[in-house]
Amino acid sequence: MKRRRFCETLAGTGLLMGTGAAGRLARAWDFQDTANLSHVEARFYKKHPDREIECLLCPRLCRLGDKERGYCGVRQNDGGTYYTLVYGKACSANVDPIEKKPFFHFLPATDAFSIASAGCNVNCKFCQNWQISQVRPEQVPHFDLPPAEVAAAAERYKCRSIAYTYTEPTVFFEYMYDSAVMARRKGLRNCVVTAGHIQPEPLQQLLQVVDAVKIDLKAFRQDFYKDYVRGELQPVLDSIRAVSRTKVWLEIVYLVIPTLNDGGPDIRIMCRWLAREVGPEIPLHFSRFQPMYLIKNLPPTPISTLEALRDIALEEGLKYVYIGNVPGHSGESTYCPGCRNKVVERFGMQVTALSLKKGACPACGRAIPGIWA
Amino acid sequence: MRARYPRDLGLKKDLPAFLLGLLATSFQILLLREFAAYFAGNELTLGLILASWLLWVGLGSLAAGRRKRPLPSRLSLGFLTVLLFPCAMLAVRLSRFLFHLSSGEIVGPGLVLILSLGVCFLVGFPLGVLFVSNVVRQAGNVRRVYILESAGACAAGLLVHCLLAVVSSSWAIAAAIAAAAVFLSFLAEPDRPLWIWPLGVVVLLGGFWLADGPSQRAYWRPFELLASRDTRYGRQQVIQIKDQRSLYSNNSPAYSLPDPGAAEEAVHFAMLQRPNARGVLLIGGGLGGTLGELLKYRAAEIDYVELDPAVVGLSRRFVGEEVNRDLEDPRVRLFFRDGRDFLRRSKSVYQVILLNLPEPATAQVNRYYTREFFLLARSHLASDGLLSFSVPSSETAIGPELRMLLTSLRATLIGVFPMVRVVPGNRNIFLASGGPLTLDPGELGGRLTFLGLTTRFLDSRSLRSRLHELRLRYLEEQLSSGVPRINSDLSPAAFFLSVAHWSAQFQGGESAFLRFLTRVPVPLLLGLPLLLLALFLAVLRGLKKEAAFRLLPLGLMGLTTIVAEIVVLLWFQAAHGFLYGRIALLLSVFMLGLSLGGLIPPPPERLAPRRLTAVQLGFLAVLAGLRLGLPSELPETFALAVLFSLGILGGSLFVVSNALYLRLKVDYGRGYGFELVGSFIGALITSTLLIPLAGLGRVIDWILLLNLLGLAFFLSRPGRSRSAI
Repeated sequence: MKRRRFCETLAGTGLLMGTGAAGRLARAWDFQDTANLSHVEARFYKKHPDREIECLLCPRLCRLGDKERGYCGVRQNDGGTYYTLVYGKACSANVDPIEKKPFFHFLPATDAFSIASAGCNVNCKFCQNWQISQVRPEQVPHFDLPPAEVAAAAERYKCRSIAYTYTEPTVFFEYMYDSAVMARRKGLRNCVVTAGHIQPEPLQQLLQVVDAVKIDLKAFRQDFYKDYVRGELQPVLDSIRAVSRTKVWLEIVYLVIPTLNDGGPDIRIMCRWLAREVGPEIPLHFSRFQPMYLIKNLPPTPISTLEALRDIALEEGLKYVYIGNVPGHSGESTYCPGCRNKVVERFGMQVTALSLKKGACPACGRAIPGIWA
Repeated sequence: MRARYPRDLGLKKDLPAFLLGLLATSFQILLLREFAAYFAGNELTLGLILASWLLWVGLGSLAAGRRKRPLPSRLSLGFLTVLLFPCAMLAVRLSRFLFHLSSGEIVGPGLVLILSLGVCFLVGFPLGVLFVSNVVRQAGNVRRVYILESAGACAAGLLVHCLLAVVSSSWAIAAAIAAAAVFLSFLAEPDRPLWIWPLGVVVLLGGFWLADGPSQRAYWRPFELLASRDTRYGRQQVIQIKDQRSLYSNNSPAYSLPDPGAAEEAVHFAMLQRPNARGVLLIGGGLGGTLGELLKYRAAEIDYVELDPAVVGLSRRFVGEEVNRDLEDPRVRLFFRDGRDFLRRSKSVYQVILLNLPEPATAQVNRYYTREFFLLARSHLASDGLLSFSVPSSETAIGPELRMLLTSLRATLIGVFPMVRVVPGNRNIFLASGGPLTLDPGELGGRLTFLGLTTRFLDSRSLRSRLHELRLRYLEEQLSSGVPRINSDLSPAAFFLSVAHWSAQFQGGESAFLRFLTRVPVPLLLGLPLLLLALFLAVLRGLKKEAAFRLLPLGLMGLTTIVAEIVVLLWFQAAHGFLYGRIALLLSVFMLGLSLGGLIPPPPERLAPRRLTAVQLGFLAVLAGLRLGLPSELPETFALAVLFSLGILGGSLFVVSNALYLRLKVDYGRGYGFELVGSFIGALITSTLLIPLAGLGRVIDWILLLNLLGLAFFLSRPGRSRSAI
């Protein structure tokens, strides 16, 4: 066989085999199926020329061209109309003690039916739920759970409330809102666990249909928000202020990360701000960090740090300051700010004693703020 | 100046090449350890680092060989390399500042690759150049330099291993070896510069040694570093912030104290299944509260096996009274040994075996999650005895990578134990037994109360939440989906799946690529490179490039020897336990073989191709022998014999093939460079991809076919080339 013929034959054979191999390889590639996602028109956006849209849901105010998705990854511009891809698409649904959220002044010792879809509009390096928050919805298994079903499931599992949690519920706003409406019809309460990174208008609308909000205040410094959260501090403070001006119950959680956001002076400034802007009766939880996600080489927060920060908060006039993720610590219980009587005793997620009488201290009669029933 | 080599001091002429091997291998070992101490030492990152090292040494040799101008003086090159090494170690240690990473932040494969390429360039490239420089000094005698360098490498493995047993700082070891090498090189140099130069280098090395402590403290700031110890098993450190002390192993937190309740889930989900268990075996992670939780069960007699005595020593001294109290309990017996080896030699039967180890992210730890280990554990359990371990997971949703890992572990357990249950949560706790198991929260809560155990995290409410039917159902659905890969010693899938899950955190393309690889059929995964190689060789054959015929065997040899080495080491670990001293011995035996193989006199020119063919057939025979012997439990002498044979063959092949090439072109670095490039490819893909995906047996099959292709290519060379040789 002449060399040229040999090479031609070889090349042809190689091409055939390579094509077959490439085809098999392509079938192995995980082309993500987006057909199973929702296609429900989003609320809170503005149309612009040339099929562009501007999302108005969160402070990022993403401006998107056709087929582009927002930062959160769960909303997409399709031909000039903005759609949520996760309406009725839950990727997690569980029954949790309400104290786990944590809510300490809201329906104590009850269970919350907790749901989430994928996505988030921030990117915390210490996210506990990164597997569903830092992914696109097609990258994680999800299941159909329409709003009516959410309420029905909560009833079935004897939950007093529905918690929109785990990821950032702002990004599944429509799903959350409609579920909350359905839940109310059944007499269920709604609580939101959020980073507070939401625009005022959607927040105001949401507050019409929910009963409690817990905001994660990650730090009181913009540089921390920039470096560790990829978000902005000011919108979160605005959200806190906005919620506190309504009847919706509000609690704040501050996850204390050793060496990153545990500085006493910053905490003192934060507490003064809370006392001034929100009021001294706002429950504030200092939660213990456990190594997680992208900063899993940090040690857990020393308990003495949490205690010191709690002392600062109490010095600055806040009345209800808790220590979280340290089961058995005295800082988990609620004390009457008037007479120091222990009105709610907790051990971890367990309420071991509840002695309030119509929401007031049984000893001195002082009203303890919260939604107790 | 005329070279001065007195006849009776011929050894001085050879000493620099020997020192080159000694330095290169010492630096490689110590740099790898430094990387492992600061970056997640999983198989992917270790493979990237080793591959980077081999690549740069190879490229250094290739570049030096092509250089037309004279190379810098060997001595100055040596001094430069010796000074660059501390810079490389410092760069690794302080890399988090270079990359603006926050304290405690983990690093993804992309950054590891960038850093390893950069750092290994600093040291590897000049070492490759030094090889050529030594050859030039030896008047082109590549063979001699290769033999001496291999002998030096052989000595390095044993030396570093021995020093690590007595010196607690790897920087001190590096400084000492480098200083000795500097002085000896200086003495061996015929054209010596002023003595002030080596003295200056040694002083700088002394400064490097002294910088170990301060640089570690700088790394940990604002934490306070209380103690640091380099052992054979890694770097153990104790840090403090406020009143809390934490033990770190290779930069990963092992435990902290006080940390009330942290150890509960590792213990109670298992022990509540068998609350009256007497014999309990705990492998790893006993400190930080685990022993204390176990001791709450009054009947329990605990055998606690810990690999590294330094972990216990540092904990006793620095961490807290709780550690001493638990260890001194008369019901606790402490053993310092590899856990799997302990079990193999033990005759005890236990009611409960608890593994409190890291997740299976490396081949070494993966040995505790394989079918063979589960069988071994089961043989030491009572009929209703229980095995338990936990891995990090997700409480809310399980992504595809995590699902593959969890299903692999569960399927592997199901193949050995009739009853397997998995507890949902941020850590999934696997329970496997020949007897009944329960995850009924009421039942478990009741047992807690009945036993009067005081716990913090596990109470009836948290149990009810964690073991809610929704969570159990979801987890069961996830674990039942897909086709699980069984994790075995010879097919260690789990560490690859762990790496894929780890890389998913960084949201780059790596996790998608790794996930993609798990779906590629193994015949395609292995066959496609062979097909491409065959096509490539056919093209080369058509082009009749004589150099290709002479160099390809070297590249192939580099690839073959490193693949076979890794296969033998992994098989050895699985069969005999990872005995750290033996590993140094194994590698030294290989290097000794290389050195001795180089000593075999090369044949006359006209017989060189026959010798080459014979050597390649020898490779095939050794690989075939390894393949046949693989499934069985052969004595460790077999592993030594295989490595030694590979070394002899490799050394012999290098000498012959390189000599053939040098007749074509005088390029002292090309042969060595090609060998290392082959090693680079092998290091990059073998333990990270091929072995976990295809298994040890198929990888040997693959390398056999690769060698057959290479042999066919060599035998197909055109006739006029044959007569030219």
